[in-house]
Amino acid sequence: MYLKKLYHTNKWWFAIITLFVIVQLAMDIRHDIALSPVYHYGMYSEIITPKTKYTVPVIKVNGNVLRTQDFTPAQWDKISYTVELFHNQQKWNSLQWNTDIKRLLHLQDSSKYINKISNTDFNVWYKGYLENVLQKKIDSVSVEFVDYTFNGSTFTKIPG
Amino acid sequence: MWIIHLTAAPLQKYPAEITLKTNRRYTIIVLYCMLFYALLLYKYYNGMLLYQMQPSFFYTRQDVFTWLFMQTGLHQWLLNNTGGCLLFDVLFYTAPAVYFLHYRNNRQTAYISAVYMLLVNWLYVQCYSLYATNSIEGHTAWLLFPLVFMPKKEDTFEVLFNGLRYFFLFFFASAGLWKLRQGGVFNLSEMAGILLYQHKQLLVTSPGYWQTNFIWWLVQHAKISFLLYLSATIIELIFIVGFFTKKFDKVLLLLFLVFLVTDYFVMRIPYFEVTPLLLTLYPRDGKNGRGRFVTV
Repeated sequence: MYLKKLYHTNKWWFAIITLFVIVQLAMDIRHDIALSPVYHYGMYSEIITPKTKYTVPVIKVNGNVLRTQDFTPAQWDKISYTVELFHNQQKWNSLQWNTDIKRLLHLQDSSKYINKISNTDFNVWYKGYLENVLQKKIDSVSVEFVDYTFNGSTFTKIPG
Repeated sequence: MWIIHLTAAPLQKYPAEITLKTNRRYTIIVLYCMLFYALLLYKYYNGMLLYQMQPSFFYTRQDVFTWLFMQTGLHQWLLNNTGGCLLFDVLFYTAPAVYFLHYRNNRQTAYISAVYMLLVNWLYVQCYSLYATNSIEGHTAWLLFPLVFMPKKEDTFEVLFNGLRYFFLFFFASAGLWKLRQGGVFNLSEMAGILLYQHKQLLVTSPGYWQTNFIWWLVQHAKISFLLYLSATIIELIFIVGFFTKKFDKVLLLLFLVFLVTDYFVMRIPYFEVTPLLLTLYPRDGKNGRGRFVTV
């Protein structure tokens, strides 16, 4: 048995690895907050069915829509996921602070957990960021969250 | 040149002296460094180094350790700080080379470099994964590998390395088990739902592109795309076999590579940061005693 062998080899490492295993199993049973380096590896395990409505961030640079096909997956994540995360970060970070961090760590100051960046700051930063990614001068950037309906076989843009 | 004496294998069966280059640990370190620096090139090409990311905000994750770590303020110090990000990149990307050179020249004190690498990796990954596009789960290899490199004794290294193999098996097998527990694998429209969620921007911004057509075809043929999901689940569950025998490690290695490539082309998920864990499936026995326990 592995743990027995580890125990006979080095008792300190045995203690560390055993603790790791216990925390990993406990987290998998509770399906709760992580404790690095113990994480939940679900990889799309929850039930996901096609929805009737999708909101898609559409990024325009100098009036032209950026196309996913022109970028590697990592490059596209860098361009697009950044926008989505910024869109959600204020609400998400505040939720983490208010529901768990403040309570579990008995802290009063939220400044380490919530961003100070404003929408204007982000827009200025994102323009420079895209200039670096695209390696060209950018005059204008716009991000629009567009709603689409899914009818079972294709997307249709919802006018609005 | 380092001379290593075999202690755990019968002398008449294996050579009495083997060089550093036939030592399994040395081989693992070399392969680890090769993968690490190949990923450095990949990330540089894709603009994924910290100084290229230019983070301006962070996304707090649900992790108690991270919350404690965030008290240091390091994640905020790096925001809009190109010099700081560059410093972090230099520290992170030189650490394996430092350890490699240290181990090559003085194995008895190489643990110092391993501890240094552990510290640097934890600081880097904790910060890096708080910024956009990087999940910490994908970076687990960088957090755990330095621990394996820390022991002075080769037999302790072997046992810990074996433990990392179990972790890798768990990493995959648990993903399969979760699909059973949470019901994804019992939902016939699961893959269609995942593809729409994952590729909505591709579908909208890139009409007519081959990958867009392919994704639409999979979405419109939900039962066929479900077979892909089912195949991935079966691959993940097959990793359970590894807990009972090492006979099929090469098969598992191959299956993992298939998973990585499919993930990249079907899901557009670059999960390459996990590849160092593949080393734990590296064959133990080879010529010249490779894979046997050795001590100086």
